[in-house]
Amino acid sequence: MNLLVRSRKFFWIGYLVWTLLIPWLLLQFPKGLPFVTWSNEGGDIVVTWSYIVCAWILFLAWPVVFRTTRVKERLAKMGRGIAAGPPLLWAGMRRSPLFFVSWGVLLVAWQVASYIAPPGILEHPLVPGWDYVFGETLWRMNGDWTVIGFDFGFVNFQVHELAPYPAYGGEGTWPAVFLAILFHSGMTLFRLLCGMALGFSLGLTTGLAIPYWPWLRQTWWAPLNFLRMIPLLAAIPWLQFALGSTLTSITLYIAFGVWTTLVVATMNAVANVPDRYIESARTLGASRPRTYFRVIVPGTIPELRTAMLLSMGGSWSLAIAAEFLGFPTGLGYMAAVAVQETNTARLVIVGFIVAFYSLTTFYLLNEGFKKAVSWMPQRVTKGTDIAKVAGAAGTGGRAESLEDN
Amino acid sequence: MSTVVNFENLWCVFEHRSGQLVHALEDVNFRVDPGEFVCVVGRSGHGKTTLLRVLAGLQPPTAGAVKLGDTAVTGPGSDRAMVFQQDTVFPWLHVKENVEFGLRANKLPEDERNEITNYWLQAVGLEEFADSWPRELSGGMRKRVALASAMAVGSDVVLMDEPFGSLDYFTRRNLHEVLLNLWFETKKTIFFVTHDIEEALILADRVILLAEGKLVDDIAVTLPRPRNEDVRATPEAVGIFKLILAHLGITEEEATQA
Ligand SMILES: Nc1ncnc2c1ncn2[C@@H]1O[C@H](COP(=O)(O)OP(=O)(O)OP(=O)(O)O)[C@@H](O)[C@H]1O
Ligand SMILES: [Mg+2]
Repeated sequence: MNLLVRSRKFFWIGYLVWTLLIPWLLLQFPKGLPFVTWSNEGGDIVVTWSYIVCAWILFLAWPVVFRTTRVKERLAKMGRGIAAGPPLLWAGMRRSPLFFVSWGVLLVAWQVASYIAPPGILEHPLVPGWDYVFGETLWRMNGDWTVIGFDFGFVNFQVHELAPYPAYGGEGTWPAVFLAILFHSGMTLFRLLCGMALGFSLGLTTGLAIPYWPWLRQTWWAPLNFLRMIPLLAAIPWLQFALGSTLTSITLYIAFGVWTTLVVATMNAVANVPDRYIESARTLGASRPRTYFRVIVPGTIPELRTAMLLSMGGSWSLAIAAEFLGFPTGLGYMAAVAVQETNTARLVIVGFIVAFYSLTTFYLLNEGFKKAVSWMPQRVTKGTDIAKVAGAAGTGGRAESLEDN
Repeated sequence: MSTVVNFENLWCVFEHRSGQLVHALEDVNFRVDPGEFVCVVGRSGHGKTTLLRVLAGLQPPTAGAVKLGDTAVTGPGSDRAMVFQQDTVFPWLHVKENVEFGLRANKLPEDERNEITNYWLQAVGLEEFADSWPRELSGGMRKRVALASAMAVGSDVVLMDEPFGSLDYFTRRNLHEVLLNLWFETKKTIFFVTHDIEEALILADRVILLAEGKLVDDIAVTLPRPRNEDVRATPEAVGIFKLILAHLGITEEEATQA
């Protein structure tokens, strides 16, 4: 039993089953309890805020029960991280004040510009001040809260209890603002994830297969290379005519964009693996497939790291562009609405959200890579501050303090 | 157990980008009996590495052939493990996994693999670093990992291209001993490229001298083993030393001055 609980497989498969069971479990809660505000309307679950909180608690319960020590460690680490935050920020400000100064100057300059810029002929100011952006405009985003429910087939959620719909004459609320942003960015993230998953796997497999089988290169590379040259933006309408504004069409589209860069990067990375590793493997008795998978493939990872990070950045643009041109949901759609309304302030908000998400996903992927290539010489090791390194090269504090002495 | 290695009218000509033809090997003929320890000596750029690469099957000859017994070499294989002149330790594998690489490729069972790996890690003095990344080792340590990886494969013919070039005196001596012990025990055929005449005199049964791709001399080294300092001071040893120097185009005076 103990062994079963400890096994990885049990944990993850169990977690999945548990997660799928949560909606059903919640329906079994007795109605009399004060926090049970949700209900079951002819098979549809009417979601309330307390439903979401309870579902979260159940969702988190699984690792708490079966990975108690690890969860404790994580929490402790997070606690330490949060506690270390302010002093770190303070130290960072003292070490590289220019970073904060330049941000401050930018923010203030924008605000000042909003006062002095001509209003322009649009309905909204050309340079919207921060008060306008994060006050009125943000508030009006509650109009984008229009989601009625989510149908997953085996379970159907209705979300009208969460916040009223201003778009349909309801009262405006901040939860509606939050839900609107959450829903639209969630849609974009989901599409992005599908597209990237497909694009990464296609790009890597074709990029690895073509150098391995020379006949593949002779037969398929010319048409693939031609395909690669199609301007990505030109492909949007075409895909929409063919497949409509569906998850399939946008997934294919993002995947195609990711593929175009990744396939070439992978082929280059394969070509750049030093011959001496391959020759060494061959004299040690490794077969051709073994040499390929155990020597060439790991040898490509450092180069692929850059390519994958870049193509992820690219796929954000593609997702937004595709949504912009033809989807009724997502961050790109929000941007499109803003353009229709000539609402500059709204564009600023969407820009901030996209920047936040793309930085976060970039960070996560990069962290993943750091683990995968821990064998590589680390350029900036733990405890080395990049500001120090950069400062030493430029007009760093060190040179100044030397002059002082 | 091991087979005769035959170099037959071996030519290897490279055409450089400039159009210049470089004769890396020019009509090389010699035969190596099983269990011989052959040192290949020559100046830089005179074809030593090329000779080993042709034997390893990494470089097809322009003309002629290298034969193991009756069969001509056509490609690389674990019957001729090689220690390269460059750093070939796989940076993405731990030290231990590097040494295991050839054993895995040859599908050895795990316990056997572990035993051999541990033996060789110990022999090159790296058992403490079994779980380190190659980037955490010094250049000389990585060289020893490469040596252990090639030796662990257990091939009858071992090719070594200046394997100890970057090692300090003590490690070097220590590894000479390890290598010679192994050679006594297993009677492998060893091809050992070196710049160092002293090293050749300690190790070799035979010294093959290459100059501009041509085999200019084939010297039998019949000094008694173990070849300590006393043995290397005998008139016979000094004679061989001077002979090699002369072939390399260095007079004795020049050598002592340097
Ligand atoms: N792949 C190659 N392409 C072109 N020329 C080559 C190639 N490999 C070797 N050569 C040429 O062959 C000659 C012999 O090279 P080789 O590497 O065998 O020398 P070496 O004796 O091992 O030298 P060193 O002691 O410096 O390692 C050199 O002149 C070199 O320019
Ligand atoms: Mg060489």
